[in-house]
Amino acid sequence: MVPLIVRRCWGLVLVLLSVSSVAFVVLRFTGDPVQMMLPPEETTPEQVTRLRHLLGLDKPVWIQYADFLKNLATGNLGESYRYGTPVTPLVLARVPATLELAGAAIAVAVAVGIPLGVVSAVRKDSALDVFVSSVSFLGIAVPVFWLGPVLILLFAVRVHWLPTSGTGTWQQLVLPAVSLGTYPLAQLARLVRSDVLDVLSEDFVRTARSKGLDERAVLTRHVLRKSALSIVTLVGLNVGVLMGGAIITETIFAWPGIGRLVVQAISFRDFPLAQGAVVYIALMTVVANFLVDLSYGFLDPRVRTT
Amino acid sequence: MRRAAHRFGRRVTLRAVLGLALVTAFVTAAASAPWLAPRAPDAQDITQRLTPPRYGGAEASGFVLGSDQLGRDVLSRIIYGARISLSVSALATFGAAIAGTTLGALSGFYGGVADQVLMRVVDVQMAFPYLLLAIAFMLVVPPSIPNIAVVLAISGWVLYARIVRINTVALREREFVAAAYAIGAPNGRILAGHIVPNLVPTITVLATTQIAQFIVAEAALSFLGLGLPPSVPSWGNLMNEGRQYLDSAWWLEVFPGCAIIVATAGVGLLGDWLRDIVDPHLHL
Amino acid sequence: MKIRRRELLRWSAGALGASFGARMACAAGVPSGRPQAAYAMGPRATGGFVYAQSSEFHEINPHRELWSDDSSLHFCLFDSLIERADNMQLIPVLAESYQNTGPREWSFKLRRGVKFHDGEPLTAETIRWNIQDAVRTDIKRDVTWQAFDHIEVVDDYTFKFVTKNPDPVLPQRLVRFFILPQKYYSRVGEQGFIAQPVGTGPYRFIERAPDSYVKLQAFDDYWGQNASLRDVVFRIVPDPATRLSALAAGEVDLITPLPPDQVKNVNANALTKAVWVSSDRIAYCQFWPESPQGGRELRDKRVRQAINYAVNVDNVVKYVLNGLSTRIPTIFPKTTFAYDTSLKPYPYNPDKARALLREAGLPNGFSVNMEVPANFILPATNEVCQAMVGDLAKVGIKVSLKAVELGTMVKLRDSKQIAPIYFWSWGTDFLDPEPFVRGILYTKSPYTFYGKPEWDQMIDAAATQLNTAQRAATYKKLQAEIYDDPPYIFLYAIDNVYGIRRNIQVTPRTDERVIVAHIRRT
Repeated sequence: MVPLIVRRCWGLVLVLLSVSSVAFVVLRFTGDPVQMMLPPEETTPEQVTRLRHLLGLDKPVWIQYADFLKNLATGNLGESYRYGTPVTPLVLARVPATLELAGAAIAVAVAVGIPLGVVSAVRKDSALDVFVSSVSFLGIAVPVFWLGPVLILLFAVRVHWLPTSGTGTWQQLVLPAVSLGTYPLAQLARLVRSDVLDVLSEDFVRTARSKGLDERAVLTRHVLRKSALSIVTLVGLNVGVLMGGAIITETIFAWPGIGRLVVQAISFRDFPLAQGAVVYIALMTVVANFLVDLSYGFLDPRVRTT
Repeated sequence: MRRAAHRFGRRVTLRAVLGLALVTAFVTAAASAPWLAPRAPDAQDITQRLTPPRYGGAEASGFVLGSDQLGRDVLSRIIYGARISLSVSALATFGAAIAGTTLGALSGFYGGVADQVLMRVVDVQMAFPYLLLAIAFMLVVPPSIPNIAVVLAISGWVLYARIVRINTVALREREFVAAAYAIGAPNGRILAGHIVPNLVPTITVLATTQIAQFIVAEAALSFLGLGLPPSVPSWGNLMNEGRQYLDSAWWLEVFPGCAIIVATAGVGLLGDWLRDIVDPHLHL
Repeated sequence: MKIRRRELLRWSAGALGASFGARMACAAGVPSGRPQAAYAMGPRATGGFVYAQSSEFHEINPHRELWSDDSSLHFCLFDSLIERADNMQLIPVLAESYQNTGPREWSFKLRRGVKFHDGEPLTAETIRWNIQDAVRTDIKRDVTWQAFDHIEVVDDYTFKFVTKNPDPVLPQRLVRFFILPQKYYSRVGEQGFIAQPVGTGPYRFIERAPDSYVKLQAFDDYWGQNASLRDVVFRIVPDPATRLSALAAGEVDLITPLPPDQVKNVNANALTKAVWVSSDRIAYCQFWPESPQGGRELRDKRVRQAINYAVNVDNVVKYVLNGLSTRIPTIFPKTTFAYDTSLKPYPYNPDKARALLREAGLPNGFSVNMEVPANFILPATNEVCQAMVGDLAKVGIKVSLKAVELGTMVKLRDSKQIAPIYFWSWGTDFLDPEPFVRGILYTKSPYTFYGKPEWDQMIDAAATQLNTAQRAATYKKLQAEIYDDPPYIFLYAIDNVYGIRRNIQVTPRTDERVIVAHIRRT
């Protein structure tokens, strides 16, 4: 186990190093932070030169990169150009919101997706199955930036059951979680449906039935186990979006997550903040994936890390 | 029709037919846009801005699905938009599939250092949410259909690389490959002639899923202001421009949204059906 | 299934990774606490006031203000020496009175009895410290004090500004120069000040959740008239469509700017209405005949005149902007000093445009690139540009329009790669032509793409003219010249449109600023 962990550690370090380097390089093609920061109507060329020097942007690129790596090695992600404060607290302040939204979206997916999947498998090919399948299918096809505003319009503007946006109360979590969770919900419903069908057709079920065991108990136990695996798979598939790609949901619902931070930082050409946020997203993604792997090993004895 | 259905057995389901029908409808609409659309997509008349839709084709001069904020016909723009959305996603999927399959197959077949490097690259890229990658790239290159296709392909090749690689590794050990070795067939021949053809069904299934994803991804880029130029009637642009009018000129957002949903659903149904035929255990 | 699971197992993490992450977390202290609910859902009843912002406040310290608009917050927390009233007249605020006491000298009397939120008193020494803090060279941006030489403190409540050259607009420079507490700042430092700002303004800082909201409360010991709204919340809602929804749902009391197309809807809603005023922000299209993307045809002034004749700006204002803008003949809004009322905007005349093009040797028109920022502070920029493209096509000019992300556009402009025609905006609350012409007409300015040495001379002459009649004459002459040899497509000055709850009373300001202390609930 220990050599495995050591190996994985190197892997993580490599991933973080590569991700931050790619971010470093790509960002530097996107434009000049100094010109983005100074209002054109009132700025002198001297101010421009001075700011560039202050931010260290007048040094040659490879020296900037060397500095960046040096700082990264000590965990120092630098200071945001825009805010003027260290990057790490700025980024960490957004992490709880991101995790909260991710958790809620998964909860929505699980709470609705599993029953849907089970029901449509058990009543295969009935009208209910077709209906549920279509609905879960639409869930995959509907884009978040269509669903979100429509939900806001219906539930917050037309009737005042829920707030439009923001964070702080549980009511404000509902619409963004539903919007973000619809896609995983649909995926999960289909996964579970397929799993349940597999289970239903397996020999041991027929054997159990012939032995007179309560069908529901057998079904439940095996389905639950397979569902657990499916949930974990689902999380694994959606980790990228949940850990930092929920930009659109966060923008629409004014949810202060880390995805939006990255986009804002990029549009302001705030290189340190963008790089720092990307590094954290990569870190969270890798950790989440590791947890997914561990759960696999735990849930399915056939698959153990070797 | 019935007899043909019987020949396929249980394989032809309602889903398959529906999926095929939708996809055909969209491809046809896209191809025949100049004849099908009542107006040119960029014919603007600012004195006729934001007129509501007239369903069931009233007078020929009316806007069947309403007009947008420059007086352009929404229906025509959606039809022309089908061209854009489908070509962007098809191009992107094609590029991603080719790149991913090639790299994955080579990597799985030859193994070694190159294989390890490729897998690390895949790991690194998957630690980056694809939308962020796309945003960063779109800031550097000018927006055009080929560029967006390239950016999406870059974010999408990874999917093929992994699955193709794994399957290649598995297939490599099979008897027919060993047989080919035995008779002295060169590696390239084995790879191209024996292994890859076995992967085509899987790749096709992946591709149909990805086309659907890319249709939405292009729209997402437009949402963030990084997609095609504003006058281009891609569905993403239509939706982005219509967003502030959801409460006042709802037809600007709802109809393109329906187009995206229905197109994505159609492609997805088709993909599902293909997957059911090819490999029911390949969960995506 | 098995194969894919193994794939997922390839992900790596572990002790080293965890410690790496922990190191980064420790490196700067993890912030604590989750933001509290800032408001309830549904239409707000009374008391608190919620103002939806489109982006986060970046510079809490007003002396570090960069290219963002945090002024609504600054106006709540701080005061300046001189301000503009809602009707744009200059009024003394922390200054009790001031006058020009010499060619290079302005004397100020400071208001007595003013206290900061923490009790610190305001004196002339505080003012001196403020100036010195603002002109430090080790910070990102100093205030534009080009002409400023030094400040003389005469006694606790009297001081003098001394300038290098005669500066007729010094009082205007002091607008929005907010005064900070010297002792408090020296004690807590920049980071401490940003975490808990203190000023002399009508509101006190309560708390802030990053990228979410800022809460303020009326300051009971304010030296002036107490603010009417007691609790104020600035809510960050970045998506314009969601802001509209929040207004329509009654969750927020004010959004700005309101797109012109939404005015009808907002007025139709029982909870809300729209109000507006003409502003000093102008829209224009810059010509650059020397662009690397082409545009040499624009060297001939007849071509540029033709373009101005060919574009039906009146229609654009009427239909695209729903009348919520004002046509201007050149680039100065109506409220500017020395605005020439005898100049009429270019009339819409496509025949004249075609004739001019024929004269210039382009009977079949020509092709040219045009760029517009994708998400811009002005409303409906895409639609305006596309309407213009349509008009130009009718006279044979084929325009290839591209929407470019704002940051990229800034980059193109500064690396001198921008298109021969590009849409931009300029605004200032000086109510004076000087910042306009200094910025986009003066040939040495990095934002000028078409200028002439003769115009530079006129600009320099007018800048140091203390005699208002002579200044006005120079500027009028300048306007006539650029009208004839257009460096731009002349467009319009926009209206500032607010969307508000019906029970809110606010006067929209020409300078686009929102002063919450002036807002009341009926």
